[in-house]
Amino acid sequence: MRKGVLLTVAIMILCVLLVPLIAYYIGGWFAYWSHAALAIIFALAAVLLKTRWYWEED
Amino acid sequence: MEPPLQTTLALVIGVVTAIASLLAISISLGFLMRRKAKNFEEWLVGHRDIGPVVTGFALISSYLSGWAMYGNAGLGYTFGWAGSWLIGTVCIMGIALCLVMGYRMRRYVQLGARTVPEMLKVRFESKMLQALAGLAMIILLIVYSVGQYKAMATVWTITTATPFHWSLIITAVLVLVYVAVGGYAGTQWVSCFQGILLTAVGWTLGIASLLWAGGPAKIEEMLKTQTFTPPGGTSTSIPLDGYIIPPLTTKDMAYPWADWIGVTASIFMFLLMATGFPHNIARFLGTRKISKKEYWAMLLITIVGGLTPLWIGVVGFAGRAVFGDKLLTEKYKPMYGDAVGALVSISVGGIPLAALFTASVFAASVSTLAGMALIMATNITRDLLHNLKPDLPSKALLWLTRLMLIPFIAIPLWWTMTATPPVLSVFMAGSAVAQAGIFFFVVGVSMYWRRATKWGAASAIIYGLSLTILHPNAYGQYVGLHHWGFWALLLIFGSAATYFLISLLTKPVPKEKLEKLFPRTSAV
Repeated sequence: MRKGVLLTVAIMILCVLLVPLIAYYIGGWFAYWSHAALAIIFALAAVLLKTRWYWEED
Repeated sequence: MEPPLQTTLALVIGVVTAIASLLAISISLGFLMRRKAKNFEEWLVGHRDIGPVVTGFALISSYLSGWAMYGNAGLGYTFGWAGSWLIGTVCIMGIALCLVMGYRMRRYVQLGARTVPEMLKVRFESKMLQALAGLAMIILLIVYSVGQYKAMATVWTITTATPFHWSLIITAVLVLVYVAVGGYAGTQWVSCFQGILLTAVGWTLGIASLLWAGGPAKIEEMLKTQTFTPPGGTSTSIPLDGYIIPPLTTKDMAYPWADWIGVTASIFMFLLMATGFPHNIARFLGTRKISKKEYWAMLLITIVGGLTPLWIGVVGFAGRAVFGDKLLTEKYKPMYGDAVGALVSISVGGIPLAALFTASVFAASVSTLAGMALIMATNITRDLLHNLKPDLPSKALLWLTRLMLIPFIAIPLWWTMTATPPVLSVFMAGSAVAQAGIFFFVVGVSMYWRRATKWGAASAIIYGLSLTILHPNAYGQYVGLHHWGFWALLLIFGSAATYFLISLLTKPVPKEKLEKLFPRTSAV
């Protein structure tokens, strides 16, 4: 598998793992909005995967 | 501060005008598209020419149901920070997965699929699977619709002082009119319009309520002084300053925030549910071919729209900081904390914002209910009846589908009237876990995994439905399954394991049949 794909998937996994960790260690507003920021990074990575490496033509 | 319970004539006029205007625009759009639909096929998927902007906002609109647009405020109010696990702070992750995976639905439309179960018939060449998926969707969507009714009726009751049961009946009639006139193409365009409205109002109310309550620091400080009070119950000594509410009794374990296992399960639920929701993935049935650039535009729309549920959660935190736990007393039965959204909107922005917010909640609930009622009705006509009698005329199917909308609007209405859930989002999450666990794999993964078989998919549906019945608040408590997290993980990963294992153990779909579904040009 390409390096870029692996890196992008690793970032996506990290985004998910950080969610409960930030809630546990920091909490409050910071956790609330950082979850959203992590979700946005995850979303960008997911669409990057599709458009850059797995684009499909009809 | 006391919640503003006094309804004024000006507020009622404002609310009715806002809802009437919303319905007029929606019905006009629906009517326009209906005139264009010449047959049943077109009524279901439109002209398959829907672009990225309409698809993006329609996806947001179908995702922003009564749960996200209204119930989230109740979650923030009742459970504080812990409520965020169902507010869906990570929901954009799941919406992005739906965006990435759902686009392949177009391939199945080209091969004749017009509904999500029909996509399964095409994928596995199995009418049995189509019927089974249709049946599962009906069961799960009926449960999901109950929460939509509570959202609509609560906001109507608070703003117009109509008795709760009458509010339910009024909204059911409106849904029936709305969906009967619209149809798929109608709801796709109407949903786009509503997606824009929901996003604008959600952001405005969220930011305004943050300022109204004294700013983020003040809200955080006030939440620390609050303790958890169950709806209609007595106050406990558990502070609302953390992301976990430790259970005091076995019953308290039936929530995601009881411990970190529940939290983990809720994250997986949000990751998979946007793709698992049939009403979400169905948004791609009418989409045209989209370029890479347009894909990024569609993502931007879903990010902006996907932050709306978080702003509604903020409304709940602000409400708790200002009102305290007053809404959790018997006085607010059966609405309880779910009443906070409407009350804060009145306090924050007076009649204009309250009217707009009420119209938005109607839009969120109506469009989701409309999509669901339509899916359930077509599950009966297209996936069951048409399956049994393929020679049924197209016109008869169209009218039968419209007729079937009546029971699918009436059944959840009756349920909400007779057993109103105390916190609507908690109730809806039960159905969401099942839809995520079953349909993410059966529909989403099957579009990409060549080795999937109809037996794997059918087993996952049966397993998922069986586990749904064992929800801790349903029959799970009788077999010792009290823990929401364990239940949700068992459902999601059990369905996945069943799907993959049974698929690998059964005869694969012949290669020549897979050729048309997985052409060699495909990179995945």
